[in-house]
Amino acid sequence: MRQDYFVLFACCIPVKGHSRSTICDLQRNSFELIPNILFEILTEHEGKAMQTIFATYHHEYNREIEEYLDFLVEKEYGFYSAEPQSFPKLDLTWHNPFPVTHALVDFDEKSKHPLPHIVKQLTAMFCPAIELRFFHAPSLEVLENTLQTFQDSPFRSVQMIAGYSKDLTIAQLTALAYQYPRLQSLVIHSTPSENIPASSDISIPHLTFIEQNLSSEACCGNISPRYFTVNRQFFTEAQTFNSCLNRKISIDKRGFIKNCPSMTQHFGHIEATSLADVVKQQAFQKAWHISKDQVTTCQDCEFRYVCHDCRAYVANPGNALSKPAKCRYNPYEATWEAATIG
Amino acid sequence: MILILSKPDDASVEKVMDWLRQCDYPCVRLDPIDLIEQASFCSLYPEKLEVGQKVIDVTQVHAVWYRRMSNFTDSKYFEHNKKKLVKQAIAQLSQEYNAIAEGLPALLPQAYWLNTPLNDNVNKLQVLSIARQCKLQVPATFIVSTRVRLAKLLKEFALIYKSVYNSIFMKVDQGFYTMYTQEITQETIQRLDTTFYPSLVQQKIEKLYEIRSFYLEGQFYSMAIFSQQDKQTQVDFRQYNRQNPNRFVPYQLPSNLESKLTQLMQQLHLNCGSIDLIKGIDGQFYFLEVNPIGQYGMTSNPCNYNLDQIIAQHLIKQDLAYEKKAIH
Repeated sequence: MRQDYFVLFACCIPVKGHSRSTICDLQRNSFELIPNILFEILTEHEGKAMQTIFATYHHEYNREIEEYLDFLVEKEYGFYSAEPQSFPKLDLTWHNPFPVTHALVDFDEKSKHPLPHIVKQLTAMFCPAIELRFFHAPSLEVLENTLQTFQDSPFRSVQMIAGYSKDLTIAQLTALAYQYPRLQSLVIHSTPSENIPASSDISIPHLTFIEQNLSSEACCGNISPRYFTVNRQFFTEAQTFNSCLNRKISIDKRGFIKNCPSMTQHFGHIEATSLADVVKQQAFQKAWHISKDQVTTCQDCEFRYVCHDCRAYVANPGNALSKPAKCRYNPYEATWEAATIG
Repeated sequence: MILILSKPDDASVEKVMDWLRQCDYPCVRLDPIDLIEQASFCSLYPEKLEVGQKVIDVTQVHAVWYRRMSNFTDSKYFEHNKKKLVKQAIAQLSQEYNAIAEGLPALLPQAYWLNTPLNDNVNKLQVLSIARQCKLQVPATFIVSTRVRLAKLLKEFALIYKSVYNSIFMKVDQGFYTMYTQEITQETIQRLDTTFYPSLVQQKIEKLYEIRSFYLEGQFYSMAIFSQQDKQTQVDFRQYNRQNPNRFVPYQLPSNLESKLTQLMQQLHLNCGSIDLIKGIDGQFYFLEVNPIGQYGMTSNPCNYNLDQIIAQHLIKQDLAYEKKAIH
């Protein structure tokens, strides 16, 4: 005889959308689509004995309910147990010690803002991660000097995006990655398709060549299942904070300090304003607190805690809380417009 | 001020220090190996500690967090001198270093110590014996060195074997050896000589799930590990299945079990450590072992227990409390 209670593993969290739901598996980094009726059984009747659940539905759906739950057991989302009280839920509070967790600095060939000045300020705030986007094709020397800036700094991750140039060889870039272990990823954009190397020619995992043209900040803000992130950090942060902008600071290609380089509002120029002062401003932190639960349409979407938000390009520029403009998903119909899938 | 004794590559220490920094709380980190790597000076009275250019004002240190320190054989000193020294001299120098490191509490007798080198090495057999005195269930445990005895035991129980001392990762040439917990079968016995090196053999408990519980001064942060469904992890979940990891979820121990475990930790003079248990299919909890210092990240992360911040706050609280004590 089967045990009395069904329990979801605490890392498998049901999220209700308008027309269907997901179970987000924060441990195995995946999700499962489920019907809303199953969401109801898992949440409203959580902790109730199987027999009680059957009775709630007047014993009309005993077999269906059992089949659903057996499916979840088979997929290892949950288990039957005699002691559900021993398995508390996951606390979904997001914890992070850093006042700024992520910095984004943009450059094009006309940029004048000096990186060392920026890095020094971020270092004082113990910012652990930085992303540098070169919309143009910088020389090897520029890339080297850039990475040199991070020697003896507390940054744990440096990511770079740079434009393609035939003068940058795979060998040179590989050597660069070996010399600077902080470099976690290097993406070379605008690569002519005939020059994209076979993956077997690249010996390190963090070097990628892509055809896509990332020559301005407008390349950002895309919403697609490709960018879904299903893990504990992301999911807990998205409960109360903006999944793109929280504790982020950006310096755009002209040196203006912003939440995101694609946004128009700025909080001063890097030459005259200190990053630490900007980070403390309530006006600057406002965007950090726009969670998906506040965004129209997104709040009804079953993907809202695994999807990156975008506040720079919104569907209705008159409404700061409207959904990301580049999202093609309709949670009311549970359909994707074909264009962005792939 | 908080003093952290640890080797340099301890990820948990990094994370706790991030939280201390966020609170702007003074903290200094020292790897005791620096005492032999750099010019150093200790004075027992008046208390002084100088390591290279670093002068640590021990009178200002009111809380110490002791983590694993580097081994003598990791030191540059050993690297430079190993060819010149006979084996016995290396063993002696290594013990001298350990004794200095273990003597550091003598420099800071008034400070709060979260784990101390004095209670670092718990003996598994001793711990099991004390656990029994605390009314915890423990699996039947034997030290066996003959095939005949082992065969006889196997008639009575399903058996596993594991190390008596800490199971370590031995680096030999290009590979690593480690001592996982393994099941003993008839085939195992047939492969053995009639006598063999004395080995710890334990009754194998058929488990519903495993439990790892992080203990900090009376508080338990427990996690259930569903290692049963997967053949690879059935006997030792550390044989991780990375494609399809075991489920690690928060767990609430019954309060009477928590109080027995608290009693055990107190008798072992441990204020912090990771406790391994099994919930058997018979519904009983079996105590397996305790690791005084360990990587608690494997419990903290999946359960979102936020132990790094909790430890940082605990150290700050104790540092302030002991500072107050020192003033009065």
